[in-house]
Amino acid sequence: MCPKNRRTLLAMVLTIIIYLTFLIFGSAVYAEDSLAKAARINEGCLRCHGAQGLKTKFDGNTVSLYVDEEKYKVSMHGTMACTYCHTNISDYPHTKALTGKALVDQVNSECRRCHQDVTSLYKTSIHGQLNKKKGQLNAYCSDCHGIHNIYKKEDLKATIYHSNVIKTCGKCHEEIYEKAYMESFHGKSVFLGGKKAASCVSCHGSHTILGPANPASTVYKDNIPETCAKCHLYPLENFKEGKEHFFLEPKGDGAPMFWTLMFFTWLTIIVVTTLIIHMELELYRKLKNAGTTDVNRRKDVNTDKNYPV
Amino acid sequence: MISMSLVKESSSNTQVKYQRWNIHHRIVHFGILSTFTLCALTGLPLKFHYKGWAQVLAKFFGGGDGLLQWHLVGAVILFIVCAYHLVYSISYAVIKKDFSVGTRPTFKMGRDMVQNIKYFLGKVEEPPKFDRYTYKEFLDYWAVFWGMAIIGGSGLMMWLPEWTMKYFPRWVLDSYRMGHSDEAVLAVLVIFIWHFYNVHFNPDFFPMNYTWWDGNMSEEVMEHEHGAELERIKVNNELSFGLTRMTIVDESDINTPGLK
Repeated sequence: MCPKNRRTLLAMVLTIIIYLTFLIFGSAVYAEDSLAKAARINEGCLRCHGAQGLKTKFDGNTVSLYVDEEKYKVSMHGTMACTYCHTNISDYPHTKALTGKALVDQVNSECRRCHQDVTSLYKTSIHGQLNKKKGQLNAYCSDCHGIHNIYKKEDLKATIYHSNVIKTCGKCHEEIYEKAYMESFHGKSVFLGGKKAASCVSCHGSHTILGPANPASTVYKDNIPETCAKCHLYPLENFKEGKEHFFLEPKGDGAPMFWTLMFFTWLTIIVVTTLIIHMELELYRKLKNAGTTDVNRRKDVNTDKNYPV
Repeated sequence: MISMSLVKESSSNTQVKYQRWNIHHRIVHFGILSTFTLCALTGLPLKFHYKGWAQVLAKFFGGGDGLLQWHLVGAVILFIVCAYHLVYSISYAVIKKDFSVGTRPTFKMGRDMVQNIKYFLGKVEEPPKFDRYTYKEFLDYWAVFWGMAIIGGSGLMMWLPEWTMKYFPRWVLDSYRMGHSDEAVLAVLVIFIWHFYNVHFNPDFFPMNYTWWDGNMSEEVMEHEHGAELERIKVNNELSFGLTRMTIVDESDINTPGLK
């Protein structure tokens, strides 16, 4: 028999080991449980929402309620329960379901529960400031990052992937995207898969984005040279002279470019037309000469060394 | 193989060849041909990014970054080739003390053009006898200089925006970009319509004028294409600009009356 103090010691050590075991592996057991729980919840949701063609009428428009299960499962939030973001859905039929802007507001306000670090930055941005105003619809988290299709920015599928983010911004900033950015070298290169050229966020920033009138903005006139110097060798003063996003129009910022384009377009049309007329005239004469005994017709064509006789 | 057998078959005929391009000229032509094609293939997708074929080409060259990389490779070689031509031409002129320029503009070229068009229209029965270079070749030759100034110059400015921006505001660079790609489209059209007609699809030359490959032109073709030059050679027994020399392909006929 062991002395009493040794048995006490043994009991204490055993207790500590058991305690540590629970401490270390207990959370894993719980995690396993929450994953399984999320999967169970999602299975229930997707029983209806996983069906293509599930839709409803809202404001006279047909709105799809379908969620692509495969895409959702491989997205960043694929292992989370639907109800983690859709907090007001707990019953069926969904008595507390929201629609329209209220739904967008509600879901986007859930992002901060995990992404608090970004939310505080976002609130200072032009997108965030405008969203605080009631009734104003602006870029929320989901407008740029997607909803059930959120991926890391390095992922080709992501809405914020380098060559996709320009289209994502272009959904709202349509005119500047189509008429100005896509005519620039940056735009064309990024569109065709270039990773070195600047996308929208390379210059404007993302969560801290501000309008060009704000002195704190990366695209405020005096800050432009520094912003360009993120890629271009040094911050030259001339980087800020002139407009980056110009429209190809006869008047305004794009006028020099427009008239250069016009000059070369007409030069091309005139030169090529003249040359084609010359060609056609020559062929016309050759056709007339064909089969005649015109002395000027080349008689040697088929005896040239390179022609098999 | 074909040419060998032809020489044998036509051994009764004297095959007089006039060299029009020596090896330097042919290297320059091939250098421009290959790099021009590379630059066109990597540049056009940027201009027409919204087209399906442009995206396929872009993918082939490795996306937007790859396009630029290969475009620059082509452009640098093109610059080297053009510099080679200038250095060769100038040093030839200095060493041989021959400062005449084969492709200089002459009044004869203008008269030839008028007469040629009249001939096409049937107003005159006689086509012009061209000299060393026809007005078409004059155009083709100097178009490269124009193209290199406009496209090459603007290309350098776009490649080195940090240098350009020291001296010019942005609109200069942006205008140059418009000029660069539009002038390139003009060049591509002129090459693939006009130049390809003249050297490939012209019924006299189809499938092609082989001068770019071996540098030679037969006497029959010379008569037709450069009649005035041929007459001058025959009268003065003097070859143009020292660049032309005569070879008799068929050795059995080496002593037939003709030219040496």
